[in-house]
Amino acid sequence: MRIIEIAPLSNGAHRNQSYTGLHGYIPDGWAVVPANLDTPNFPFGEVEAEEINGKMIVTKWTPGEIPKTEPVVEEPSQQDIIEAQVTYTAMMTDTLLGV
Amino acid sequence: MKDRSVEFPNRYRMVKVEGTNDIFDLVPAPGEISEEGTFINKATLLKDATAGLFGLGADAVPDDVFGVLSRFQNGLGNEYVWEKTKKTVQTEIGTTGLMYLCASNKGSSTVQYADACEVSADGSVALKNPISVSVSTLVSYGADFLRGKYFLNPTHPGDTDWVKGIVYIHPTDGEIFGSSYSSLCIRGGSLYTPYVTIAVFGYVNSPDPNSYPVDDGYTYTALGQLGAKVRIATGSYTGTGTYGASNPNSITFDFEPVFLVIYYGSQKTVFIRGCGTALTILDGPFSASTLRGWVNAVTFSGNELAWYNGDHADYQLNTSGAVYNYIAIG
Repeated sequence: MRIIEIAPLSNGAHRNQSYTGLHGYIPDGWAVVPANLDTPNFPFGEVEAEEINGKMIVTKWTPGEIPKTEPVVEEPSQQDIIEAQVTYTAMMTDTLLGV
Repeated sequence: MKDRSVEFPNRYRMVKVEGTNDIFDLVPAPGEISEEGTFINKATLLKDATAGLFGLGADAVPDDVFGVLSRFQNGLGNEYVWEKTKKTVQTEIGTTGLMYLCASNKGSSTVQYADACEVSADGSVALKNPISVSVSTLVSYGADFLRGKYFLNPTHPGDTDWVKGIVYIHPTDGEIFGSSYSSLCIRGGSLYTPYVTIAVFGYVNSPDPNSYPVDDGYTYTALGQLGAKVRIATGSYTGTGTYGASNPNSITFDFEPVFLVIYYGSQKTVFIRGCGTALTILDGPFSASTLRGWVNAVTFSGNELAWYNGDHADYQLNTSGAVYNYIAIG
C-alpha cells in the first residue's frame, strides 16, 4: 500500500512511503494512493484526496515539474588523499611497484 | 442445513382425545411436503465430538462454543501457544563385524543393560531402568541374555574395535563369545545404534499460560503469546529532494521499530532506536573509504522514525526521484 502526505513540501514534492503493513492505519494528513492511479513525476505534483469509507484516498494526481538539483560534490576522503600523495611520490621517484 | 418446505406450514387438525370433551391433539396437516428440512437437534447443532474439539463436554450447548470462539474475535493476540512434540528412540544399523563389548582388563569393570531406552532430560538416549552387571560375571557365565537388549559399557577405552555408547544387540544375529583377556565379543551380527527422533504433532493454544505442559507423554515447548511477536516490515519511499531540520524525512509503521536499514544502490544506512544518529556505509569492507560521514539527526517516536541532514538531500537519503527501500524490525 502506498501513502502520500497531502500537503506538499516547499519544492512541490510530497512525503510518501509504501509499506507491507499499516493495515488500515493512515497517519493524519496522509492519504492512500490507489494502485491503479497513474502518478507521473511522482512525488512532485498536486494531490486531491477525499474520505471514502473512513479512509483518505487520493482521487486525483496532477503531475508537477521536477526541480533541478545540484549534485553533491564529494570531498576526497583522508584515504584518497594519502593514496594520491603516495602514488604521486612513487611515480616521481620511479619507485612505483607493479608498473 | 435445509429449510422445511410444505404446502400448508401452519395447518393442523384438531383430534379430540378419547374420553374427554375439552382436550385435543393437534396433528400437523402440512399437505404436500416438498422438503423435509434439517431437524434441529443435538446431532445437527452440536455433536459430542464437535464439542470435544473445543474442550467442552457432552452437555455443552452451541452458545458455549461461541464463547470459546469469542477469544479469537476479541483477543487472538492474548493466546499462548505451545509446540507439541514427542521424542522417541529409534535404531539404525550400525557396526558389523567383530566388536568388543567389554573386557576385564579394559574399559569399565561393570557394564549396564536394559530392555528399552528412553529420552533423557537433555534430549539424549539413555537406558531405561538399567541393570548393572560385572564384566567378570558376563564373561564367566555367558551373555546370551544380552540379546534383544540395549547395552552400555560406561568407559570406552578408545579402540576402534570397541562398541561406543549404547548399542542394541540383535536377538538372533551374530555370535556372542568370550575371547582373550576375559573379554566379551560379538561377531557376524549387527549392532544397532539408537537415536532420538522428534515428531511434531502441531501446536496447541490457551489463554492460560499455565495450561501446559500436561502429563500425557508429549513434550510442550512454550512459544509465547501470539501478540508479543517480533515484527518485520519492508517498504520504500521516493525522495523529494528536500533536506534540513524543517524538512525531515519520516516513515510510519504499525509497530515500534527498533532497527531499520535504508538501502539505495550501494549505500546502506542503519538506524537503531536509542541512537541519535545513523550510520551510512557503502558496499565493500568496512573502512575509511566505505564509511560515509553523513550525519543524520534521528528521532524515534512511537511508531514513527524521522531524520534529517542539514547539508544536502543526498545525505538525508532523500535524492529527488530516487527510490529508497527499507526493512524494519520491531
